[in-house]
Amino acid sequence: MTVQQPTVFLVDDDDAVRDALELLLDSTGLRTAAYPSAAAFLENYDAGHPGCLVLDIRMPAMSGMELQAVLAENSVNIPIIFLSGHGNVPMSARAFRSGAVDFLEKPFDESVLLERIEEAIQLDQSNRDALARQTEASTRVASLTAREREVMLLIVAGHANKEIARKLKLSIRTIETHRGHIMEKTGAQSLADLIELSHASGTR
Amino acid sequence: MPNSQPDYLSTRHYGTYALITLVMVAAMLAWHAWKSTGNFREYHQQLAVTSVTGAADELEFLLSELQRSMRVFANDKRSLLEEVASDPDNDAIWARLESTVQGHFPEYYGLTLTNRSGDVMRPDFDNEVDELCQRDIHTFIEDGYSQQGYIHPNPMGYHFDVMVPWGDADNPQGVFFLSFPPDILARVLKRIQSPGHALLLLRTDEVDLIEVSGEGTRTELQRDFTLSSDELARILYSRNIPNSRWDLVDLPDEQLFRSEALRNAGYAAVVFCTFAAVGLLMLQQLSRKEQRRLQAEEQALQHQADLAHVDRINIMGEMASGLAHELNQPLSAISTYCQAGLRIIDSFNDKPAKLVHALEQASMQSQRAGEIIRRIRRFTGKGMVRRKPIDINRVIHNAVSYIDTEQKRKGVKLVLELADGLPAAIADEIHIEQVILNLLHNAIEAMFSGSDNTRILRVSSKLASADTLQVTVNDTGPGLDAAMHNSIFDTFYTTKKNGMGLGLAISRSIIEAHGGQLWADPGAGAGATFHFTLSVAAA
Repeated sequence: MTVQQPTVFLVDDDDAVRDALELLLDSTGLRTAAYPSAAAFLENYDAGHPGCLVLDIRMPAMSGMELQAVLAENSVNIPIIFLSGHGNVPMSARAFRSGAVDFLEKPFDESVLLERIEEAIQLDQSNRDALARQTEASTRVASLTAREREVMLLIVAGHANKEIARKLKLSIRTIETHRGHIMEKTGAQSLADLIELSHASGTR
Repeated sequence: MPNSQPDYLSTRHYGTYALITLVMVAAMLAWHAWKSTGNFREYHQQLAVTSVTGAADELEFLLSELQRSMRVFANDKRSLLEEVASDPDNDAIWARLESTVQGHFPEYYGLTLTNRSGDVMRPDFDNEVDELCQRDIHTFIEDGYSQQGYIHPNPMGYHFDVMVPWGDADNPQGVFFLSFPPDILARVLKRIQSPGHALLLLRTDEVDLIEVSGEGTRTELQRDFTLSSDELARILYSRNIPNSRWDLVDLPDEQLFRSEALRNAGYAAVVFCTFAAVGLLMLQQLSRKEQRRLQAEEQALQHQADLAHVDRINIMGEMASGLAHELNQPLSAISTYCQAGLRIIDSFNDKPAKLVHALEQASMQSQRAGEIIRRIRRFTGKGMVRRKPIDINRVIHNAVSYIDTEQKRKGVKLVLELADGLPAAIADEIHIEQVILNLLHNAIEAMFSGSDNTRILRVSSKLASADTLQVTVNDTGPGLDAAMHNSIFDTFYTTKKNGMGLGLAISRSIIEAHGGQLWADPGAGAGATFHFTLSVAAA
C-alpha cells in the first residue's frame, strides 16, 4: 500500500477565489485539487484519497450544505471547512451540527485557513489510521473461531483463566490453549494490545 | 390606502341629525297636544250648548206644563174653588181641595187661593204662604197674570211658585197658587248635565246668585251662593228660561280642561322622552361603532406602516447582504492572491521588501473592506425581530386581505386551504406576513405573464411534522424552468421588468433567520409552488 500524499480538495464556483486559493495552497506545498462545482468534485473524488475539503457554502445547483449531506449519506468522512461569502448564525450552526470542522467568513485570514487545513488533514489522517486499525483488527479477529472470540471477549473483560473455564464449563488447560491461539492469530504482544485490538475491531 | 373615503357620517353629524329630529318630534308632539286639548275644549263647548239647550227646553216645558195643568184643574174644579172661596175657613172643604190637588199634583208643596185683588183666603195656613209669596201674587196680578219663576225660602224650605187665574177667563175671580220644591228642577239638571259639567240655574235679576243645581237648592251646595268672577268667566253657555227669572248656565269643573291639558302634555312628554331615550341609545351605539371603526382603521394603518418599515429594513438588509456576498468573493480573492504572493516571495533568497510591503498592505486593506461590509450588514441586520407565538392562519388572512382588491379586480380565484387547530408558530408576525405577501404578489404577477385564462391562487397551511408548520403558495402561472429554479432565490436575480430581485432573497433570509426553510418545487408548465416552514412554539 503506497502512502498517498494528502490533498486539499477545493470547491468554489468563483473562479478568482478558487484560483487564488490554489495559488496560496500551492505556495505552501500542499497538494490541491480545485473544482468549480459540487458535481465536478463528486465526479472526480476518490474517497480513499486522504485530505480535506474546502467548500464554498453558497453555490448554484448544489450548495455546500447539500454536498455535505450527499457525502454523509455515502459515509464519506472527509473533514470539511466551509467558506461563506455571507455567513449567518443558523447556517453555520447547521453546518457544525452536520460535522463541519470549521466555518470561515470571506474574506478570511489566510493564516487561519492554513492552520485549519493543517488540522483538518491531521484529523483525516487519524480518522484513516483509526479506520485502518479497525479494518486490520477486524480482519485478525475475523480469523478467530467462534469459541476463540468468546474467550477473547472474556479475557478483554478482565476475567482470569480460571473464571473463564468455570463460565464456559471448560478445563483451564483448554482455555490456556485458546489464549495461545488468540495471541498468535491476532499478533497481540500483550493483554493491553489485545484489549486495544478488540475495541478497534468493534467486536462485542 | 383602504378606507380612505371621507367621513360623511361622523358622530358629530349624527348628533346634529338626532337633535334636528328631536326638535321636530317635540314640535309635532306639542302641536298634537295643543290640538287635542283644543278639540277637547271644543267638544265640551258643544256638549255644554247641547245640554243647556236641552235642559232649558225641558224646564220651560215643565213650567208651562205646570201652568197648563193648573189652568185645566182650575177650570175643571171651578165649583170646588168657588166653594172654597165662598167659605175659606171651612176646614172640610179645604181638605177636599187639598186632597184633590194632591191627586193631580202629587209633588206640590204649598197651596193657596186668592181673590181678585190677590188677598190670600187662608193666610195662616201652616205658614206656607209668606210675605214673598204674597208679594209675588200681587206682582202676578199687576203684570196681567204673567209668571216670573224663582225660588225662595220659607221656614219649611225653598220652593218656587206657579200661579194661574181662576174663574172666568176674561174676568178671573182670583189666583190659584201652587208652590213646588226645587227638586223637580234639580232632577232635570242632574239628568241632563254631563260628567265634569254642572248645570246651574242663576237669578238674572241678581246676577251670579245660584238658584238650583243638580244637587238641589243653593243651600245643598255647601259653597258661596254666588259665582266668583273666575267661575263666571268659565261659563261655557247660558240661556234664559222664559217666564222665569232664570238663566240656565253650564259651568265645567275647574279641573276639566286643566287635567286634559296636563294629560296631553304628559302623554307628549312620555312619547318624547321615549323617543329621545331610544335616539340617544342609538346614537351612543353608533358612536361606539364609529369609535371602533376608527380604532380598527388606525390599527390597520399602523400595521401597514410597520409592514412598510419592515419592508424597507429588509430591502436595505438584503441589498447590503447581497452586496456583501458579491463583494466578498473578489475581496477574498484579492486577499488570498496577496497572501499567496507573499508566500512565493518568502521562498526567494533576496526578498524585495517594497513588494512584500505592498502585498501585505493590499491584503490588509481587503480585510479592512471585508470588515466594513460585515459592519454594515450587522447594522442593517434583523435587529428588530420580535418573535412570539403567532397563529399562522391569521397571518395568512391578514396578508390575503392586502391583495384582496387586486386579486378581485384582476379576476384571480383565491383558494384558502388552511388546516384547523394548528399549533402556534414562533415568529415575528410582520416578517412572516411580508414573506407571504411577497409570494402572493409573485404568484399573481406570474399568472399574468402567460396567456392562461384560469388563474387560481392557492394558499394552504398544514402541520408538516410534530414541530413544523408548512405554508404553501401555488399558482397556475408558467412555473419555474431549471435555470430559474437554480437562481430564483439569488439576490438581484429577477425576471420582472422593474423588479430588484430582492423579494425572494429577502423572504428566504427571513425564513432562514426564523430557523425555517423556503423552497420552490422545480418544473415548468404546472405553475409555481413555494413552500416555507416554521417551528412550532414549545407547548
